[in-house]
Amino acid sequence: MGRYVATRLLLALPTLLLILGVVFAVVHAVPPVPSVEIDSNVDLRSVTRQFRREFGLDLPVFVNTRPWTDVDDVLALLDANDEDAMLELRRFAVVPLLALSEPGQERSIEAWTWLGRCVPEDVDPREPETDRARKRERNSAWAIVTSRSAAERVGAAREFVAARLDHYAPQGLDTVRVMFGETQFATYLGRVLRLDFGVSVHDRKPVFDTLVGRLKYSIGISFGAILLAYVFAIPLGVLSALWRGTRKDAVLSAALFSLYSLPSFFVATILLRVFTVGEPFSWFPPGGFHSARGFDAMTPWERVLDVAQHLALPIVCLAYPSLAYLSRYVRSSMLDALGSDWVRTARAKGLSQRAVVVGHALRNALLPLVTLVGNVLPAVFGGALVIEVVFDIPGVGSGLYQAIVQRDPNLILCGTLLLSVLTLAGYLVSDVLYSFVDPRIRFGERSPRVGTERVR
Amino acid sequence: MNAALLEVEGLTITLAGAAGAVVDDVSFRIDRAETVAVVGESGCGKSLTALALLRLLEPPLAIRSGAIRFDGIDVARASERELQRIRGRRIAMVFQEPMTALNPVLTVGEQIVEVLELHAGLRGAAARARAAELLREVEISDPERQLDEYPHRFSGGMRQRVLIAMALAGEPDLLIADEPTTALDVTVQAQVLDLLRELRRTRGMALLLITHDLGLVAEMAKRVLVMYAGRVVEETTVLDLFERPQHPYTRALLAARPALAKPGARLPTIPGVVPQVAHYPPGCRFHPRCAEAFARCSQAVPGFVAHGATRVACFAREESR
Amino acid sequence: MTRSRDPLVSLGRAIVVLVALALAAPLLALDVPFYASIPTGVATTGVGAVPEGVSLPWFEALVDVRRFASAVDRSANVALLLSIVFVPLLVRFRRSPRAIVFGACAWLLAGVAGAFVCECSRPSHDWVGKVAAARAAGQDVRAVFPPLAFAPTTIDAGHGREPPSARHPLGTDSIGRDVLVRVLYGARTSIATGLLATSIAVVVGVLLGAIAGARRGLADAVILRLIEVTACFPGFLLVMTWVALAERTSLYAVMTILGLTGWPTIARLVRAEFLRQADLEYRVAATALGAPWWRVVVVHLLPNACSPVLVAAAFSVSGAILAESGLAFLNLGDPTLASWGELLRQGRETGMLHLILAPGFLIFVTVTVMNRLASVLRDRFDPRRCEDVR
Ligand SMILES: Nc1ncnc2c1ncn2[C@@H]1O[C@H](COP(=O)(O)OP(=O)(O)OP(=O)(O)O)[C@@H](O)[C@H]1O
Ligand SMILES: [Mg+2]
Repeated sequence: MGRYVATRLLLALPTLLLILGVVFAVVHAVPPVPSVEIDSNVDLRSVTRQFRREFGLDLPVFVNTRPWTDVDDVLALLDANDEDAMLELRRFAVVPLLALSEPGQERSIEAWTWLGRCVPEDVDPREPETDRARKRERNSAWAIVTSRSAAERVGAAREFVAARLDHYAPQGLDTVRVMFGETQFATYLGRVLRLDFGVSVHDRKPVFDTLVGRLKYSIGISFGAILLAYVFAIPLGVLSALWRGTRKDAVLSAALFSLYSLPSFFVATILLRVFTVGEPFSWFPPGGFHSARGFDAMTPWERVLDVAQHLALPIVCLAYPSLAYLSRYVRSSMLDALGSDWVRTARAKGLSQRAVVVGHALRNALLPLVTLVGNVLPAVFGGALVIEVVFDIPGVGSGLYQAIVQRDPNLILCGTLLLSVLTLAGYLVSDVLYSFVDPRIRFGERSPRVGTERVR
Repeated sequence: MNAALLEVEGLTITLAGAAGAVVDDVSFRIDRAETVAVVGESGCGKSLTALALLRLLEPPLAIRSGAIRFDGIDVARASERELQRIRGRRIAMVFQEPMTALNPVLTVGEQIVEVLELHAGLRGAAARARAAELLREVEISDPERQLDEYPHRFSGGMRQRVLIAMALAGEPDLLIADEPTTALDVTVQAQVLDLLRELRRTRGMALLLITHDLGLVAEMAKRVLVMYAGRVVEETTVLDLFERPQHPYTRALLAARPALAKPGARLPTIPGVVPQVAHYPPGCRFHPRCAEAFARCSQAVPGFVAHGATRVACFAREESR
Repeated sequence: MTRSRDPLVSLGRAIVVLVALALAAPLLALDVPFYASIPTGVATTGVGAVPEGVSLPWFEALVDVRRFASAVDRSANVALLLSIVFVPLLVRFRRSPRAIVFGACAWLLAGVAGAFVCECSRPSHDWVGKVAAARAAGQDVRAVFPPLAFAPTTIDAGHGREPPSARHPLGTDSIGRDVLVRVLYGARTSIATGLLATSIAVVVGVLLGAIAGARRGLADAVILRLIEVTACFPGFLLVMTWVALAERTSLYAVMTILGLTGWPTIARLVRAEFLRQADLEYRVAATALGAPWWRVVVVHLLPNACSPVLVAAAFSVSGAILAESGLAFLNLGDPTLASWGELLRQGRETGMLHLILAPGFLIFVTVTVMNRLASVLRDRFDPRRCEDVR
């Protein structure tokens, strides 16, 4: 069993990596920009440069081809006078610029000026202090060099660079390291492995803390919804199985089927309209997790009531699709059980109808239901996004929605990762539970998975 | 003549949507401590008849008419309550398919103890001890440990023995055994049969034995019902069955026994196959395959005629009398 | 109307009605007359002037990129024109399911191709305003408009946020566009999303599933991993992110991502079906006769995998429709297209019931019809083969 779980966990890693990679690509397909008030008289250019540097956006996303920068590339940038692009080349611009600075070259003065700017730019504010000190030293050496005659200073610069050629023009394996290592994705992965998910581009707060802070609200409504779904789904499913073929069963089945096809954002909108704004009813507050004012002054009991009142509608909206799905599942597995040979055996023993239904059929039909938690959990968490937005609940879902609308890459990535981990954990829990409840399943064999895509 | 333990009269089972009766006008009786065998080709309605005796048929199958009297109780009209008092305690059944007849998520012990609690009034350790004893009686080794196993760990033969043990747990007056020994090897089979004979002797348990194995019939039964396509075609004693088979179908069945065939010779077979319910022919249902059939056979259903202790439903035997 | 006992027939009818409404939207609602006869005068001068003389502006408007900015709309328009050819054909061959499927596909493709071949860009004529003005001026103007003389983008100034009235049978939205008109055109958006996303999922799924099931070995292992990974993909989140980040929200991106995350179910079904059939005799026989593996796949295996794929596809359509309206509901829809979800969003913001009920009901009906179709089909086919889909 431990081995099985370990294998599954190991297999989850490449899955997560791939998900992260794709979402990373999508998030960085359009580079995020700093949020600046439109009429504020800041220099947008320098703010942007600062911002890109701060969030590491000046690195290539997946593949770094800068070690192959040659004189022509640099010339093209000089022609275009693209300051940002040149500075972002950093140390890889040095060797071509040096070649262009040789006395006698057509644009040597211009190239030399650029060289002077590119090398100090090589100091990365995110690097450790010792590295910085080392680089400061290098830069002061450079400054001395700049004070001599053109031929001398280029010669000195050439020596300087030649002494550190592996840094300015990496060769062999180093190229590969730079190619894949000095990228945004690699940097990000490195940080994620250290459980550092970065900060939001808007409030500069660690996104992980933000999301974890929101998690309690999401867990609150999600678990409420799952509980509600199970509590109602089981009796409904069992009853409609026992009523099989009657009009009652037909009505119940049709109702559950419609419920299953009813989009939850529609239901949420209607409930909000009908029950919160006083036309015609004003039974529930229109949103939030608890009352904005006066909550702190309440007694614990009043607080519970207050939260319950706020959460009733969102939980119902979140629960009913799972309820419909689960009860249909209960019905069909109950029918399977009731038609089985061993239920006939139980009848032949002289057990009462009740004992047969409860002790044999229900027991068999419900055990796999436990495992469906693994399927319902990710679905509910996914569905919570829309519901949280509609009901204005400060959970993970609405946080993620805001992040997406505001283009906050770290928050989006962390949120996606969180949801994916939850999904995978849900599957794993479901498979492990399955082997617990069904003595026939042994680890290593795949359990019959009831697809998940369709629970909304 | 004392009252029979079980008396079945004109039992007719229908399948919703099909015209003819699946089991048609079946009558027989079983006395206390008597063993009656039912033989016939696959699909002739043996299992359905057995299920009907416990009222275990489920839609689309249903009893249309007929009386089932068990020890003074009219089973065919009994309420669910009364049935629960009969099932397992008075009449127990060993089902044909051992692979699916046990609940996969309950241990074997739990399933046997259930019967003991219900019908023998045993609880806790006593029930468990008795369950182990029952398993030992059906030749399951290390019964104490096996009680806590789930059915999927058991082989087909072991499951069949568990089913037998479960049926015997309620100490029934009548045991309906639907091919109880098909999955057992010869030695275990002999021991199980010994056990059944023993119970018949000590407790007066009657046995309705459904089987394809004519050897088993010869060994266990006193009287035999031969069924074909949902009807009893001949009711006879074991001796007469082998010595003086009357119905052409019975004769064909006996001739097809592998034991009789000469080594190297082709087994004699009955030409044709048992028709499906929807295609039962009119008249005597065997006539399309019968060598002795004549015009009347396809027009009317033959009634029973007596030949000594034997009753046979065949026009050919009527004539010869 | 007599109620048919076969649910497939009534479901088929419901689908035909939905598709017909979506296609016929410009027939019912457009601010351009089918036929116009305009004398020189008031109407032919000023801003939004209309051409004088007898003309059939409606037909031209159908492929006008200014009136119908989205290719989805223009394709549907061309398909509407082509219905003169295809509807009689389909009715003629209605007994043969194969002909219906091929005919519908051809119709669809012809519509899309037509929209790209003939597109035009006309100056914006204000037909409604100019005709009214000319009539008021007592000129002899003749113009036959569709029953609702509004385009989905027409803003009826001074009539914003109105409940249903004679002028606007389902009221207007928050900036004064006719809700009924937008609901009609919204059906196109929904159906197009469902169709395209599902087509992508089916093509990718069948292809990968077939390769995995027919080739086994390494290909199977790799594809199986891919299926598992993709099945865990947070598809809706990905679509949201993409849509929010893209410079201009486009429905095609939505369809593509939904399709590319939706194929694993189908691939799994096809693969399972292939494995199930692996040992069947006709396949062995065909292989023994020297048929190449892909021929065995196309001729023998794929036709058998059709039914579970059909079930999964029906579910996929309703899933894509839900996703599209969900996105629009979250204000992440394609602004050039009318969408049910977008109306519902306005309903949520304004609290006006006609803005909530009309689009919500249509989403519900469409999704129910597709889900019901899927489950009826599943019950009709061998249910065990469709276990994976619900
Ligand atoms: N649930 C059912 N639905 C339809 N037909 C049934 C059903 N159960 C049994 N039958 C039909 O009833 C007939 C008799 O079945 P039955 O199980 O009694 O045969 P049997 O004599 O026990 O055969 P075997 O020796 O193979 O066990 C068969 O033709 C079978 O096809
Ligand atoms: Mg049988």
